[in-house]
Amino acid sequence: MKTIIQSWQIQRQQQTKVNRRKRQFTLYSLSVYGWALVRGIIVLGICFIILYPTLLKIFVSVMSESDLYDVTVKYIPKSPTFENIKKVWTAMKYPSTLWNTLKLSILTSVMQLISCTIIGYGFGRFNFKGKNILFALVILTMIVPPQTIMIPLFLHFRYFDLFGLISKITGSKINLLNSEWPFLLMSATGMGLKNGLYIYIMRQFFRNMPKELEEAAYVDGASMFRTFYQIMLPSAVPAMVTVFLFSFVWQWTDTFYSNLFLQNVKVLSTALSSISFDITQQIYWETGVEVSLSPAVSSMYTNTASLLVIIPLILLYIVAQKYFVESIERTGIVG
Amino acid sequence: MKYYERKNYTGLLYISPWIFGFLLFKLYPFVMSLVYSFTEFNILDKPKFIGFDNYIYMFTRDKLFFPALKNTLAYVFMTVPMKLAFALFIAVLLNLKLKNINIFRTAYYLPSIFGGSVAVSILWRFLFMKEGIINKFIGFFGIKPVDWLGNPDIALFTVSLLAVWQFGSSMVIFLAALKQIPNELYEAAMVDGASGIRRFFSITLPMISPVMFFNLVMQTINAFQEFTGPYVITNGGPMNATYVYSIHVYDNAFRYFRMGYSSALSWILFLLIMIFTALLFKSSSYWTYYEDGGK
Repeated sequence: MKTIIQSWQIQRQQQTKVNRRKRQFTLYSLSVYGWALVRGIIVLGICFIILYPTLLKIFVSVMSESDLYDVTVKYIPKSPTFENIKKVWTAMKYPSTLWNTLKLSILTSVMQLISCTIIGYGFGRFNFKGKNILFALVILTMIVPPQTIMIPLFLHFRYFDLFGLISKITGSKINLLNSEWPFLLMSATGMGLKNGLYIYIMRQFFRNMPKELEEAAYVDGASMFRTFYQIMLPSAVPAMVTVFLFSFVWQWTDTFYSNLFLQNVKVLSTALSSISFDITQQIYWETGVEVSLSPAVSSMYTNTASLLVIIPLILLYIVAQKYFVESIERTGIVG
Repeated sequence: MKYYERKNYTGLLYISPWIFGFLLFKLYPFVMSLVYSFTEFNILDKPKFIGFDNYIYMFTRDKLFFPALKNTLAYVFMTVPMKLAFALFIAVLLNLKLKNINIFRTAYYLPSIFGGSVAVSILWRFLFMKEGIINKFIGFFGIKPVDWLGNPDIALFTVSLLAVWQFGSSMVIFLAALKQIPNELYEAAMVDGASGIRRFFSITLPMISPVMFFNLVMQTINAFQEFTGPYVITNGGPMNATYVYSIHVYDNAFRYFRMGYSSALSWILFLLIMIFTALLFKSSSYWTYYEDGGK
């Protein structure tokens, strides 16, 4: 008798367990799908927030003035026109400005790539007296705000003199402003924009490479420089791509040094600041009428101009996005 | 032995461009700016030594110094936590096994590529104008238009949203760190019956704390130096609500040509960043967790 009751109880208990598990299962799967749905909405929504402003820029750049004041026009212009782009194109002197920017960005990023790789190698693979102090100084250069050294640097290049050598030879100090020289000199010595970060990246990379690789090359009789460029460099290519891409992009968008050193030469980032003024100038030349742009129209022009500035970057990003994202993962570079 | 000695001198040779550049383009300007900070200097005439007058003026009579300082601190304390929290949130979302994660990652990183450039700042001004798209958008839900850039109470917030929008690089770094966390930790916690939130605070956060620290330091330094955003979007206005410290430095140098005073201002900025970075480093031993004991 007892055993029957017991077995019944056990059966009963098992039954409720199964039931509970079933109920839990449906609840569980419901919460899984619900969560997936919420997540999907959030992920897509943020995608929208991210891409929307950029897309909007493109729409606005082809709007006509009537579209701008038309309240029914939100995104797609009713009478699309390339008039804005044409106006901005000529006011910015786009082809020559683009060429200036391209030249400057490529020159500086190649320079920075070479110098930071060499310097990073020096810090990563050798032991010499004072290395740690010097490397601490590399880190410190990242903390010094560019504003702090802005004025002396400006004067430095305005009256450039290499330890009194140049004025001895030529009799006067030379003005390096409005040329690429300030950028080139600073890049070649690893002092350019965010170069402390690049040196840090290259040093981390070289430090983690196996010692045996180098030693084997030495045993085989390769010289130190040959070891560097035949053994070490080829395996450092991923880190070098990172440094190149970021220094190119940051030079492209930089206004700080460009404003400081290039007052007459226009690059895209500095041409952008004066675009409203340039357009009124241009209209004055063409028609002889002095116009003042309304804020809305003026902002439409600046918007179009800024689109022209970042379009090359967007193209670069589309082509090389894999390298960008991967290199951040690998090196922790921060924009 | 001889081989290694030679090898070490070669090391010096490799970094010699850096030493040269450091002396010429960093240390010399750095020292000179300290020298200028004790002078009255308008670039055209020779600097005139005036002792601590610049610093005394700054703390006693400059009406814009304290507002600018306050704005920069407010900007830093607003931007950095918002940006990092948002970046971490998105990273956690993307880390949950999701299809086509790479497409989203690529899209999310896009704004960061433009950096703190003028182009993006112009875009921001355009979006948040009174007749701008944001107001049109919230009008859709029946919300009255907000004067995002004209209202002194929220203008700085609007400007700092731009930095938050560029959360991509922090997010990618977080994402890389999240992928490194061994799954066994979560499994063990689940067996012990820890909830999702508990798992996040007891496993995820400690495991990514070194990366959090790195992001925190970099973003703090960047935020202190922020110039382009406030300068282009609102030009320091309205009523100096977005007049951050670096605009003050820039204006004194290139608008009023008070190079000496501007140098003094920039030295205070440098010291401020130094102190904050040092504090972050000091505090890090209390809240960052390294598996190998931090060696």
